[in-house]
Amino acid sequence: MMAMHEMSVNEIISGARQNTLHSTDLIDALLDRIERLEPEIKAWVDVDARGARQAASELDRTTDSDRQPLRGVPIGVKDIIHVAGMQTIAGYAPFRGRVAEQDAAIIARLRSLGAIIVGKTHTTQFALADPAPTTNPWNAERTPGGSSSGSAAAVAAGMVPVTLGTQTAGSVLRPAGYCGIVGFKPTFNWFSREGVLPLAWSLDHLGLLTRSVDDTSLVYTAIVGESAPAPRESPPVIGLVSESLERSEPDVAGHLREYAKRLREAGADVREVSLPVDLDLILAVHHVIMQAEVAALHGQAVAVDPEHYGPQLRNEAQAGQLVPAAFDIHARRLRRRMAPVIDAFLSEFDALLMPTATNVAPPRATTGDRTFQAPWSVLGTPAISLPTGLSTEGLPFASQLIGRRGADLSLLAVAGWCERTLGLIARPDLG
Amino acid sequence: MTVDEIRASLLRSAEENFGAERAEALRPRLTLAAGWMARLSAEPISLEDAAPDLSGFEAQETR
Repeated sequence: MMAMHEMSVNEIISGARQNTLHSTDLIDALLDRIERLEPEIKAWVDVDARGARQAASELDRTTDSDRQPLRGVPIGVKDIIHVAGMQTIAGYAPFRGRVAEQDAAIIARLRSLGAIIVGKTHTTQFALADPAPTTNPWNAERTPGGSSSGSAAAVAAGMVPVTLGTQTAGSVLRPAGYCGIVGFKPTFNWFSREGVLPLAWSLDHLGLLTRSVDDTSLVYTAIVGESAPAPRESPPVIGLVSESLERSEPDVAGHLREYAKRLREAGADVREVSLPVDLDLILAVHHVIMQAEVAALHGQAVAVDPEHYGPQLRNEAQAGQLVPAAFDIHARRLRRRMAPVIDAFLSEFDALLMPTATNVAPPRATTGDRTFQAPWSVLGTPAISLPTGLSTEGLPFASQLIGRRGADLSLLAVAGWCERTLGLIARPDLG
Repeated sequence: MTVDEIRASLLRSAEENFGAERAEALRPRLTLAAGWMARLSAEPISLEDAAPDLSGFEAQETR
């Protein structure tokens, strides 16, 4: 019999609807697993055991008269997203004990769909780059990635099937990639950011971390109120981004070539292509805008109270204060110029393919390399990371698919085809 | 401006604003920032360029 922590989102919903699964049993099983694994993984800031059990108990006592599309699905929440009655600390000690009075819009939406909020997961400070205490479930000496560190590790460890994360540079896809799970960042602003602490307003995205594309599709379509896409039958046309092969570490590039070969053998039309805009220019635009926005948000607080800031965020905020306004405005002008060029390029393919990151999970002193995720944050396109292999060290390799702005369902359909055709890697063996 | 000129300018500003010790701590990040700014500088600007609004980004409606 399948262990409860291995149940897919679809199995949970079906079980809760047909009364073959008691939500309280599922929550109890997950809370037991969290209690057993948390001392090593350190994914959680706060677990709301009482609130989760209460919500589950209410579901078990009521019928699914509204046909709630996420009935009984346990969800973890990155600790920069407000959950009513829980603290939002964001890795910043002065916020300890600061309890949110209202749910963020995304939390209210998830509750209305029948989801159960299990607790808050660790983030790097204010979702930048000072590492959280979380370890990678595949290897405790390696980073889980950041900034959605606890959200990725919790899903990889089977503590919950779904978590919310946020991405300003690479903070959903990279941790998903390093932890061997699926990470999805929809088109910019597709999910409401009301009640989410900002880092850089014009770059911040909410995203989902799950164990499969199917799970992601179910949660995504429920949130946006659309029907799940029919499984894609025809093999997709995929653009393999050559710049990403040149800039990856050799084992990562080798894995992506092998993955592309397997896709071709399965019928996909995979063409090696070069981006129509210099990758270094896209990255420069992202980094200058991000640095300026981070400085505009945190500059004053860093000046008043530097001791409570981690070195990464303190440096970013101070460096950003020195960016001349003309450079920031020029970067925004270039983003406006690039977006239609990239949109037109993306319309030639069903998706682009790149490694999710240049490397596998590095040691915990950093949260990893944002080079391959940041372009799709600044351009606002949907992107999804799939766990597609294991390195000789036993760490996950991940491959990223990118779609056109607004074509989120098509991208999920392509990712679903890849998942069904070639499969995803198994999860770490944590018992 | 060259990357060296931008870096020198940023370091001078850092020292004036935050002091010599912090400027030294910021040197690696400012060196990176100088590289990004130099890359942006290489892109031409038309004197008739439209305002750099953020249409398509902030304007994108929440689903």
